[in-house]
Amino acid sequence: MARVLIVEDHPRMALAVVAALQAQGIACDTVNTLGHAAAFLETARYDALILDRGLPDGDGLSLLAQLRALRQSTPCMILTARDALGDRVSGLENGADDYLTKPFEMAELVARTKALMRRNQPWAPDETCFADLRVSPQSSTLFVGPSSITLSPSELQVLLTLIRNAGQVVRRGALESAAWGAFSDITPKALDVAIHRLRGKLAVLQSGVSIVNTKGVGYALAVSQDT
Amino acid sequence: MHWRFLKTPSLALRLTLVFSLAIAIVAVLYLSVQAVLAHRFGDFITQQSLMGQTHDIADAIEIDGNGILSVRLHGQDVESFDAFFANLKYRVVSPDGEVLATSDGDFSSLLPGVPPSQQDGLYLRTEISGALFHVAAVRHRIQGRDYWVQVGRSDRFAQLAQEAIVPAMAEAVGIMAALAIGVLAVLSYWGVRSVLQPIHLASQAARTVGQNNLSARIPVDPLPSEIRPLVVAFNDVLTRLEAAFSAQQRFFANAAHELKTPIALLRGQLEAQGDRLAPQTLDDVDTLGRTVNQLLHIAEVAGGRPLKKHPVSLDEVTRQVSGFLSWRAQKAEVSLQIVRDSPDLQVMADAGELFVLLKNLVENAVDHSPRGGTVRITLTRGSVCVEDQGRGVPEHQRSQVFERFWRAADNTKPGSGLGLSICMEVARAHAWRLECMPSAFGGALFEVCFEPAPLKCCL
Repeated sequence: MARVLIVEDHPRMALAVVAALQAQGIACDTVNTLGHAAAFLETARYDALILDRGLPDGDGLSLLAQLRALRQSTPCMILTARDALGDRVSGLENGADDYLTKPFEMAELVARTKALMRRNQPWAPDETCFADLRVSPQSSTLFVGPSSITLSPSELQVLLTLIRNAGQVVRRGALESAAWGAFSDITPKALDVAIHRLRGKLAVLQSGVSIVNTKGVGYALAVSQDT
Repeated sequence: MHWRFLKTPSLALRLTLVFSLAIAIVAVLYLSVQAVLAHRFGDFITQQSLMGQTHDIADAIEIDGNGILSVRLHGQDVESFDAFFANLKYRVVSPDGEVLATSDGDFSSLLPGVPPSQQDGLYLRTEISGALFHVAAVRHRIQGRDYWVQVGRSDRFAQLAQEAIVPAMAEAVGIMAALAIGVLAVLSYWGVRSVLQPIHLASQAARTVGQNNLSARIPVDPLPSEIRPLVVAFNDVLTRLEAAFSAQQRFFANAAHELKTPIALLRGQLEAQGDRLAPQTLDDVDTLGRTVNQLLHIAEVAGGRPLKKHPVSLDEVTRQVSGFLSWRAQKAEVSLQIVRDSPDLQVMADAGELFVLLKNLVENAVDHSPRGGTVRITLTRGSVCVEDQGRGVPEHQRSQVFERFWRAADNTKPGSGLGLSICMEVARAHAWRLECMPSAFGGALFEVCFEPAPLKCCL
């Protein structure tokens, strides 16, 4: 089970964060000082660290700097009210992997924490390539040469499925279950919309790859001959 | 009298002008005196020259074993007395007035009627054979006896000599005066410069003290004692300024913490209530949180926050912005497209401020994009463009969008009306240009032009 250490001195804030993460099946330990945090980090392994900056016994960044000096790469998200113009830069420079400022949406915190935990796993999804396309599942981004565009979760899954089948026709049902789950209740139109948007994005990035439709069967990736 | 030309702003120029003026006045006075005294100068030269010649003749007197006195002149002197016998004469006279030696065979005294006792060192003008002569006489003692040597030079001859010498002398004096003025001018300029050098150095040191470097102080040791109090006072001002600035920074940090944590808690509690909540409530809390953030940012930027300029990778900052806004964009079903014409563009910037500038522009574009739309961020060597597919900004509102708290009357999107004004403040602080124009992409285009052009990075 994934486990996260939350270093937050405000009890109600800590409770709210713990509740949101636990609802997603993430186990949480909570401490309210840097000293306790250091002790917990020594005794247990955590998949991610959520760190406040303004703590009673100092700036959370000092703990992070110590961790990084000890070559501990536990992914860390700074969760703080401190958002002066230089704060984010100093946070990232001190080894933070993400920086979220208060107030924030709980759903965003959960999504970012999950992304953070995936980062450190050996089976973290790598970038997938096809012809001139490069897809980063981590950042949900499609790259063509130096340019890029973000993909929605469904677009990402559709594209990854098409790439995995490298030019073969993929049935509509397979694409739908990849994007929305096998038993999801979506209209057939949803896939058409996702394909339409993906085609638009490929065109915008001037990719040599296109999505071709085989009537009544499904879709496949095709590489244009002139590229 | 108005010495307006002396009131130039440059102290060095002022001092040099004063020195030059003084030198010019001295030169004019000197030349005037020269002109007035020119003819007397001629007389003076004649007298000196004649006296010298008298002594030469005295030195040439010899008395042989028979007590016979003769004058043995050498070279040029012999030729002069022979050639100009009518204009140049000498006599050697005994104490009893008898002429013992003469240059022209005439044994009459050149100073008839003047007793020998009054002749020593005498110089006068007198008429000899109907012509005006300058005559000088000296006493000379040989073998225990006194002799008087008289030398006469006709006035015409003296005039000729003067005419030859005086212009040459005047020219020499003129050249010397010009040289002296030149040397004095150069020396005074150099002197003024060396006096002002410490002020120059102090001001150079002062220039390094900026918002980015408030802890720097001007070194006091090498300064002359006259300037030192000013610089010490300036350093004291810097110390107080630095203290005030860090107090202000602490205030920002504390205010942020005190305001934002309760808003975050409030938001968490409202979220927990789920569907029972009025639909707009969460949006209102978000707007409140965003406004607090942006008020703090604008206070920081407009309050002269020290810029920490470094070469910053535009790609990296854009990636961070894209990552930061990915949640917001995904919720709005807006895609973020990044277009680059070459990899690894760098720009001299404060990384924190550049992030906020781009974040606000992209956030604004996302907020104004239709569902399914795309926000395009184009990075080039010299500018960043953020374009959206929204409704765009009408021409008459394009300058207003950067005003604080300005919001279009028909704008129903959430926002504080501060985001773009922060962008403008950041652009101003970096001397960049930020403009709003219509985009061929469909909506508005915001362009940041970096000046000077961004550095090309090593590939």
